Amino acid sequence: MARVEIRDLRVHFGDVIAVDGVNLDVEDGEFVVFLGPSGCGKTTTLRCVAGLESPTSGEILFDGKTVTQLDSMNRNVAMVFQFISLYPHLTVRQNIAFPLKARRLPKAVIEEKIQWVSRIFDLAEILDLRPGRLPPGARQKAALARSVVRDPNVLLLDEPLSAIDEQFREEMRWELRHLQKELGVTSIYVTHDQREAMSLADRIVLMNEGKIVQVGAPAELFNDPTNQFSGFFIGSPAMNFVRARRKGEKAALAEGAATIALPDNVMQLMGDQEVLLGIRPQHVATIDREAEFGCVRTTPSQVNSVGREHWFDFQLGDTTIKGMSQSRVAQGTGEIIARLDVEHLHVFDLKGERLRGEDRS
Amino acid sequence: MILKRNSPFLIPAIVLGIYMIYSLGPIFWLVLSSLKSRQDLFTLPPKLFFTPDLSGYEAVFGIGAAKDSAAAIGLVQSLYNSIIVSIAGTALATILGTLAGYACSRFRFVGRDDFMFFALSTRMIPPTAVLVFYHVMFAKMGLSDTVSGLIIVTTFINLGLATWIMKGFFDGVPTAVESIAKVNGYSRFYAFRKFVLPMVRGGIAATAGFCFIFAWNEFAFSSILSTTKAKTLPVRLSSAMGSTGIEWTQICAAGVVLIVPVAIFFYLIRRHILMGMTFGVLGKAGH
Ligand SMILES: Nc1ncnc2c1ncn2[C@@H]1O[C@H](COP(=O)(O)OP(=O)(O)OP(=O)(O)O)[C@@H](O)[C@H]1O
Ligand SMILES: [Mg+2]
Repeated sequence: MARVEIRDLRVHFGDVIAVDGVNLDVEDGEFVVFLGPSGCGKTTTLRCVAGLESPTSGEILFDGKTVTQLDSMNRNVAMVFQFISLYPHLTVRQNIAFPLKARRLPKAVIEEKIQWVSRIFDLAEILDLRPGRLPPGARQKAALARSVVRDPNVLLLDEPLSAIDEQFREEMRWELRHLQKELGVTSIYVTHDQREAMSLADRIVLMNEGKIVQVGAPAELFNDPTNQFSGFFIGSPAMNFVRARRKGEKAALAEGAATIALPDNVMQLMGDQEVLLGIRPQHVATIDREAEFGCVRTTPSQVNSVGREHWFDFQLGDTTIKGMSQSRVAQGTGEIIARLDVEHLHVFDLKGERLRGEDRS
Repeated sequence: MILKRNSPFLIPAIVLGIYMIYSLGPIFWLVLSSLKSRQDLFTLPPKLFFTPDLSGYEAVFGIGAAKDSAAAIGLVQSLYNSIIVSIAGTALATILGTLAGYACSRFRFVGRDDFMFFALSTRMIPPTAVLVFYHVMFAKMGLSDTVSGLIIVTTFINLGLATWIMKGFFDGVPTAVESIAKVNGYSRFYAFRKFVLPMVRGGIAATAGFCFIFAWNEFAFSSILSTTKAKTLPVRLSSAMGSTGIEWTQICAAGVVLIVPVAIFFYLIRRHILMGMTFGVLGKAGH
């Protein structure tokens, strides 16, 4: 297990800039998840750490020692790939023994290690089968077993669960998280699924267009997005955004489709410019009597109840705002009062950068 | 299927029939003639039934009665040259083409696409346009009229094509095959040898088949670069036709000997031929 440092990493493929100046420290034993939309450079960054891609510039360090020039075979990294990780013509046992044989370990030691990891991953029954006959879940389990069987410096996982059925994936995630902590192996996990990232990560590294947007614990990213992209990408359903501008004591929303009273700190942030207000659906509710701040009289355009969650939409001009109420919202009953929880209101400039007060940073 | 009289396929079937006679007729005639004696050969109308005379084949292979005749020695020598040049040229082109194809499939290097285009264009150039240059160069290097000279030429003629076909097959092998080996502590070369090469076995066989056919049939370069000793069978045959006192039976037998390996190899690689025509996507469609 090692501490992994990525220093000013850049990767260009011809004119395409896949990774554009990434800096990151991954602590020993930490579980870091790279999250971002397709093509943002997650896989490329991971492959640089593995030594499978050579950076255009920048450095990779393991435990403070540079490995940038080191070939992948000498880095002692383990990697689980998106689709195929196992050799189809070798049995699960031979696949797991593969990295051990590379180190010329004695037969007895290899056998012992295979027994150990097969107990952890519950592989006893499939050890002598070829991967082709196994369901994707069992295949990835075996791939995970192979990757941890030899104390790698770092475990790299590139969307390892994406080929697995939704229902089984949940279980695998839980197991993976548990194992990672138990074995204490430094891990970097790539996904574009924010729910997966939220449930696995010690820290999420949110990326977009080759750059890191925000790094932090899942709750930090959820509660404190640094820009509009971060607010939008994390959380489901996605954060609502609506344009706002000061109008006397209050604020006009969506070019004057509604006015709303906001507390002083928000009004100060807004100043005299037009801004974007961001609020998660979980923080938009219905109430019976108008409160001091954040209330809008409106009629719901859509309602949809999922279990105990009662979702509703309403229109502010062209903008649709989604909210979640504790009680059922009946459609077509006319006016409701929607309340935006101003504690959780984020203010962004029109470029999408978060505006913050002096006191809370 | 039996075609009905008014089937819409009747006319195409007739056209195809004529085409088959057109293409197979000469081969049929060739095989018959190679088995005829001198007298039978020139009777009119041509005989369909006759006592087979193997003297032509004896001459080509240098056995039996024709063993010591001067003409026979020339034919045997040229058959031997053809075999050596084709096999060695095919082996070299296939080995080098496999390595180059792998490099072109896996590595990004400056001018890779230009190189690929250049490699293929070497096959498109009319040989007669560059013959003089080769002639002079080979003469200067003392490679004129030598088997090794012909092997070099044959290798280069086929190398571009071999590279292209093999690149197609390697493109069909996921790069993960090497990535997996590398992150598990093995070198790229190990992965290439142990995993990638076995996966493109069929491709290598197809490439070798293509190369062999082209090498075996090669005429333009051999005809100018071999004057006496190193003559290959096609060259020897064509020069025999110009001289007087033509041994038709021998020529026909040699013609059959020329056709047989091509037919065999073509049959063996037939699965890959159509795919081979769409260079580059070969490997993906293959397995
Ligand atoms: N070998 C390559 N040659 C050229 N361009 C590449 C190569 N690998 C990646 N790219 C480009 O670099 C960018 C980043 O790719 P990368 O695979 O790192 O994205 P990603 O975040 O993993 O996306 P995904 O979620 O789709 O896997 C993309 O625009 C991609 O097209
Ligand atoms: Mg990816």
